[in-house]
Amino acid sequence: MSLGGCASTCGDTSDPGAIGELGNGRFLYQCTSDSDPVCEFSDPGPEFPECIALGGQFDLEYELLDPDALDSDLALDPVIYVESISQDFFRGTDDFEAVRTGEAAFVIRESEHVLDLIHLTILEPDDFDIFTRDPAEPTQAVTISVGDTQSFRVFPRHSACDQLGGGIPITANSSDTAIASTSGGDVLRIVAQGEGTATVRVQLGALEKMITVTVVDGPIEPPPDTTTDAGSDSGTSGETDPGTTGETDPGTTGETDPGTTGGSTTGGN
Amino acid sequence: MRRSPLRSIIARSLFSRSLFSRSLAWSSGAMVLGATLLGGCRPTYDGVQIRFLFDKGQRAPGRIEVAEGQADIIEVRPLSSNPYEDYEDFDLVDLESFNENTVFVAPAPENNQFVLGGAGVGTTVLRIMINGDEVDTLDATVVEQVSP
Repeated sequence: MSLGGCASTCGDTSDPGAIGELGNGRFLYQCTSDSDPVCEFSDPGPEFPECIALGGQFDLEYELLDPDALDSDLALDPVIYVESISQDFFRGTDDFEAVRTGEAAFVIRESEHVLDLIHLTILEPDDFDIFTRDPAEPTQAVTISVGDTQSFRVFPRHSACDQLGGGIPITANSSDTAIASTSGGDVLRIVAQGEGTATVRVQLGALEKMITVTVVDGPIEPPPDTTTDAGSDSGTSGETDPGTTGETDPGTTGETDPGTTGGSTTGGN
Repeated sequence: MRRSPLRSIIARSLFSRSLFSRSLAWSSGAMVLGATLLGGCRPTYDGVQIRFLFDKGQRAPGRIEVAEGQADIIEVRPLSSNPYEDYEDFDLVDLESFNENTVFVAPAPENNQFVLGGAGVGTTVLRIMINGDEVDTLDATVVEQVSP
């Protein structure tokens, strides 16, 4: 399942990038995980990340500012690639993973030449947020209908770095898998198995948090201020009658409010 | 200081004069003269001047240092002991690491500039090449990075 908040940006260039220390081009950051904070918002982030989370996975690309300005003895159509100076800090050759705290460099290679370089700081996250999707909000408790699956992004944070980059795979386990089962990785997925309440423990590196999962048998009522998706053909918006929210009971959709013309669309215009 | 190849040629010529005939001595004398004249036309390697352009590396007594994981740009200028001929921009300087797992070195786009990177903690040797000939070596150390 793709996550709405990230699906449109992850894998795309997130921002104008960062000019290399030799000034020959810009480094472009790319998310490789749905839970990369750089791809937290649907719009591209404003800046290249200030630092990278320990354990964080990401990719870098490079764009020459002016290929013609390069020395003429370089290849006419240069094949350039990003390389980590030390695999002890940034491991990988295609996607990269930060494996040790500190400051480490990437270089841009073209044959035996180095065209540019950049240093990135690696920090161990001191917190993380678990975000619901649609709307994307931090959460510590969730209610799910039996049989439904909910996905959550888990963003690493650091108190000294507002623009932390790198998605970290998480692990999760449930206090009662008969009520809620879990799976980790890029995102946290919780599957509601049976009625009741369970606690899901989410671990990101050495950090952990709990989510209280309540599984109910039947539809879930949205909060009073939540509206149905634009384009819904329910004919009513959620706030008109909380008891008959469109997606929870198709049998009553559009028929509960006599003042609303049946079949008309309120959210689409 | 290492003896230049040209001086080696001169030394061999002088040695040969004591072994061969008088006519050969004339030839040897001519060779010495020619070699001396030739020596006047090209610089004589007398070391390199290294400048760190960033603050990631540093010079230490008898060697250069860079922290592991980090990279710096160094500018390498060969020095000539020949008072009449200095190295020019067309003299190609190159550096080669004996152990790329310790020190990463590669030419930067600017002439005589190189990226020096700390690939792994340890010490290795950089070969200094001028116009394809190895003229010197330089100890290079990668020091441990103190994590914040």
